[in-house]
Amino acid sequence: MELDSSNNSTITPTPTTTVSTTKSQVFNFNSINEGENVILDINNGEKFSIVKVKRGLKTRIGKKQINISEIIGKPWFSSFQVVNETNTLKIVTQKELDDALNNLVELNQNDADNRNLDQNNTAQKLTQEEITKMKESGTDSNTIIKTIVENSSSFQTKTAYSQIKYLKKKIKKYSTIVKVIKPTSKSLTEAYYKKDARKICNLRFDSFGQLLTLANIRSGTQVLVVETCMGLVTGSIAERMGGEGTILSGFIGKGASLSIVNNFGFQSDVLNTIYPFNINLINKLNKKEDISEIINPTVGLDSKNKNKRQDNNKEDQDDQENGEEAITNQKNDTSTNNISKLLNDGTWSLVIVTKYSPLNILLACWPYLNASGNFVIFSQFPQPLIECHQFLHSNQMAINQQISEIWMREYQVLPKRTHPTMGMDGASGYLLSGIKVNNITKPTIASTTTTTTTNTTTTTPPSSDPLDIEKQVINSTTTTTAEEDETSESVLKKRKLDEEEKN
Amino acid sequence: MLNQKKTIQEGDRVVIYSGKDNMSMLTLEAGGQYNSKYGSYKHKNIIGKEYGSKVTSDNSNGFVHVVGMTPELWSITLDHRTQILFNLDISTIIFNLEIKNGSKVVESGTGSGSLSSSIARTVAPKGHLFTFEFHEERVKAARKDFKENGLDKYITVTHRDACGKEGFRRDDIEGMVGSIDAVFLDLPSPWDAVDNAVAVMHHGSMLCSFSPCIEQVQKTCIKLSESKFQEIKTVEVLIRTFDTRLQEYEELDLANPYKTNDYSQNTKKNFEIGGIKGYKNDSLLSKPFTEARGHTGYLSFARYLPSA
Repeated sequence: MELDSSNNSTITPTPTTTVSTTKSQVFNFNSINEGENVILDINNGEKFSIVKVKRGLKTRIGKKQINISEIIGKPWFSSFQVVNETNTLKIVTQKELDDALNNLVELNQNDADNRNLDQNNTAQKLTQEEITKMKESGTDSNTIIKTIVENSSSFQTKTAYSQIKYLKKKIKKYSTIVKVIKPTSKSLTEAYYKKDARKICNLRFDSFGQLLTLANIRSGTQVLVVETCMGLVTGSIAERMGGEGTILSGFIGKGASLSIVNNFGFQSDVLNTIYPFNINLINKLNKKEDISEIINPTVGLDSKNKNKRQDNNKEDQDDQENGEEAITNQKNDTSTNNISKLLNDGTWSLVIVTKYSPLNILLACWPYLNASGNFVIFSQFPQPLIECHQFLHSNQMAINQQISEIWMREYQVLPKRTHPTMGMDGASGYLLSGIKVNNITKPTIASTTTTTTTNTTTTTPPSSDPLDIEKQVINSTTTTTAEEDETSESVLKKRKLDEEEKN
Repeated sequence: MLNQKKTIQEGDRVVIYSGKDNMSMLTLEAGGQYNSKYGSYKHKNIIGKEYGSKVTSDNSNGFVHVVGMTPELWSITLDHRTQILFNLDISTIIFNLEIKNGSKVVESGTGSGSLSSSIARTVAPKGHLFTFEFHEERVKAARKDFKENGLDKYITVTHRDACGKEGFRRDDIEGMVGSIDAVFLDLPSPWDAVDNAVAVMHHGSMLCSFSPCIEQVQKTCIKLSESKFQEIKTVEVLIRTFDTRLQEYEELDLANPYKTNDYSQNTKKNFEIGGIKGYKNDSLLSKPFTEARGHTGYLSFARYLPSA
């Protein structure tokens, strides 16, 4: 088949996806190592817990402290069953889980319906005390479920499908399955959204995906982020950029709260692309005040976590990666001077996801977004975005603006039983996106003489203070001569007429 | 498309924006001229300006904005050779397939290359997209487009049937087979391509299949669950966009037993209708656009986990 010769040389295998010829090698590259961060998905999304893997580490799963050493060296995304007697984990394959379900009891092969189903809660003959007794005496979960099923008078009248549903429910209740998931933007968003959505400003996965696309996030670019999502947005952008580019991450409050960034388990090259700074810096820059008194945290991760990390190091001297991470993150220059320099260089994307009203944040950050750059704001509520939209629109500061919401439905897909799931999440939140434009009206042939002054100031090199340029933008829009106003108005009128004609 | 500069230079591919429904792309040449109903513009009057500038037409009667090319703008301005995927579907696909700088991705079919461009932007420069298309003309056109957009370094277009015997294997490219992190299928019978996808994937890779019909989803999901895939999830995403405007909103001063109407502050504009007084206020109002899309397709995601 045809081949683009230019492509051959560009494929450089990255360590995470290095190709392997033998099965055993594939196994190695995809296994869980000590020192790595993992998400423990307990009972298929019932609960999530994020831990750094260490031999002998005990973590709370359900109501017990469970030793998780067993997961080390096992393939990512493996499932483990909690062994009640020893409080440890035991690896189980999906097939074993499926078989366990199928072999537990004989399923109904005949057609059944619910004509004899009573709703008086008398179907189960066992009392709660009897079940608790079995649990406490250390009976394994399969035996418990079997006993419960045998004592259920309605089980045999159910269809095979609802029998499975019933069993799954019981299995969830009496046995604990833990799936070990790799922390990524997607899995962390899902975990935090389920755990406590408020902490990540109710940023749903589909809105988040759309936000990253609309912001034109790509490696090698400069991005300005203002977020109060514990670092989820900053971390996800860093993940996409993969160690190339600059992420200026503005925080609101005393210190950077970027604890989720730690959960990604980034290598130092990725961490070094993140520059946390207090949003007060932008405030002072815009007011042309002294910025020297703003002390930026030398390490961009929140102090609570830093301490925890140091404790970890004390306990485990061999934990090199831990130490490396803390040191290497300090390697990039997060001094106030450097960050204000980076801000003044301009960014290509502006992303705002905070619990605060966005308009003032947007306008404060606006001078540091290059013209033709993309901006995206997420909010739970539409009204604040409408306000931003209107401001930018009436001052002709942006084009291609859009306010959007997402209607997302998940489906249950089963033979002859496919339908949207009954419960759904109905609040995607809202996104405002657009492209910044420079609205300094360029001199026209007819009016060259009158606008020469504007012209000279606009052609100052881009490296100069963006604030000056921005002021000129506002000045030029507010003090446009009547003549110019007329031109643009007449053009707009003409356009309207054109469109009406079309219709 | 990927190296955004501040100043517009000769040879750049730019987007001429004169309204949401009026965008076109343009490659700038020193002697060129761009004509539209909003006036004509000599390329040399655009070259040298800053990106994002407002440019006035040669006769000063019109203006346009000139901005840089992005995959999103490109998918609006390109010549559609096939039905293209929508922006929101593209975002959901890239996010759920966990694509990032360095990812290696397989896509089939290439179609008009709208999704390809978005993927290429995300995987560049360390990753790569292998895209497969069985329609020869589309292959040629896509190669040309990717080159013109400066994405050809990150995309390999192969003219091949995804459901055929060779599948997605490119044994001639070192390290391709078994290194693919994500596979995207937009095919009439995606279940026929699942085995071919598996042949190039590794433990933990993601797969996504886009199908407009639920019967296709059904068959695909069964095939996936039989092929050592887990976390099988089907979603549908639709976008609702809002029409926002500041407009006069009329309020009637009707007496009622629950609340006193106070219009003393409002002296701006009042009117009378059938003996009732009314006031006009400028209100910021918003509603969904009347025209909306009811369906694009179902997205089925799954993770390939042969050793779990």
